[in-house]
Amino acid sequence: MCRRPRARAVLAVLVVLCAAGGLEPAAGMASVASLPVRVTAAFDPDAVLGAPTALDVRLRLNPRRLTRAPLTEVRFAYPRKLGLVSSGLGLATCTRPANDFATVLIVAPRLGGCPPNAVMGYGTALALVRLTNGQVIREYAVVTVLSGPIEHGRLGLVVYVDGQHPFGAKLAFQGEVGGASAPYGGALTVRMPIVPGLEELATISLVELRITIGSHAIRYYEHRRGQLVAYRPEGVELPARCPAHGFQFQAEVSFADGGRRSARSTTPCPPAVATPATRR
Amino acid sequence: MGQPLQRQRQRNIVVIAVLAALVLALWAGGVSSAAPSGHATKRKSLRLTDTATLHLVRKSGSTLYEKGTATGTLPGTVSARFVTGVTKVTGTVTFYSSGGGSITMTAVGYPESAGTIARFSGNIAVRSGTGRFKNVLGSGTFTGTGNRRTWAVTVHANASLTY
Repeated sequence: MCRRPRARAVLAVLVVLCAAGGLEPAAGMASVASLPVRVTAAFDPDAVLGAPTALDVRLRLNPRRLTRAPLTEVRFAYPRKLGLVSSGLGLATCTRPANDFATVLIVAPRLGGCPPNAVMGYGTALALVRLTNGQVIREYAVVTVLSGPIEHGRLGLVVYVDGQHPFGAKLAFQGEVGGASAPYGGALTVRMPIVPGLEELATISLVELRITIGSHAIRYYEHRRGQLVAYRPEGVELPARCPAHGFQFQAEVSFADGGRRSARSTTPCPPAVATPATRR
Repeated sequence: MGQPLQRQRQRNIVVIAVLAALVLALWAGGVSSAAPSGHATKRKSLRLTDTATLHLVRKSGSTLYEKGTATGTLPGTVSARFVTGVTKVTGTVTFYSSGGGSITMTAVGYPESAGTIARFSGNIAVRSGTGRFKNVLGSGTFTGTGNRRTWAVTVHANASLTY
């Protein structure tokens, strides 16, 4: 007698919850493209366990689903067993004057004046520049991640953004490689302070950031028998055994209005040994 | 006449019983207190000052496996396993003394400089050993440098040990 009304009530509650997006299936059914923040991480196509690889990280932000407040911090956490410190990256340190991190560097030499042996990764960025007159312009930039000095026991980072088109602004951001709670082993954090004077002209929304740590394009230089020789540094070290649930990554973005969003992704394990087709 | 004699006998029995109990207690106490000193082996002290020169054997993710030689108080060979974290390096280092026995220590080190040659320092705790160092205990400090191109590591360790 009482079952039907109760079932109807449960069904009604479920419908309301689904409509409000309060149930997992609703979120799961949502298009991936409509998520406010997405992160993906991939190794070299021919990567094998127990060997170095490049790590390609892609962060995508959906401006329609996010606040228009400026981005102030990007934090990228990587798995515990992934060898970033044990890689061959960051053999020199890039030290910039403190005021470089709060200005638009109109003139800067290649790599922002930092040594090539400090390069840890190369990438690209796409941002939407909303001018105060309402015009929205897409700005493309080349991004270089460099190792900075050790401060308070943490390895510093310098992220050099070289605007390409149409503005060509050159910016330097400060960051660090810090600890992270399990299952992560560390996190790369980049702080983006609001550049004085810029907010009066435009609002910049980062749409996509793609960084390849240990990129194949990186060249280091060392002296061998009196000659300066270029070589490709070893990338991120993969463990010999795969973590139980694959390689888990997390990206977290913070905004000037206090808003914070995060996204996670899992990268499947590469094979333990190189197959004949992929062997270098 | 009979009653005082009987009382005297009873007193004597009580005194003998008390004395017997005291002797037994003293004997038992003597044995129990003598037991540890009888079996105790005097622990030796050692002030360890060694320099280990290590080279990379293999890497697995954030873990480095190294081998090398040690010179100083306990010359011999060394094997080590270091886990490189972003803020610290933890490791297990085993000294195989050329005079016999081994000492295994855990180390926690902190980077002091970046660059190709990275400086680090930290603390060591000695908790296990083999052979003549079977019951080794101790602690100390270390400083070192690591070549981040080749992962050749030099460690200077100072530790106070008892075994």
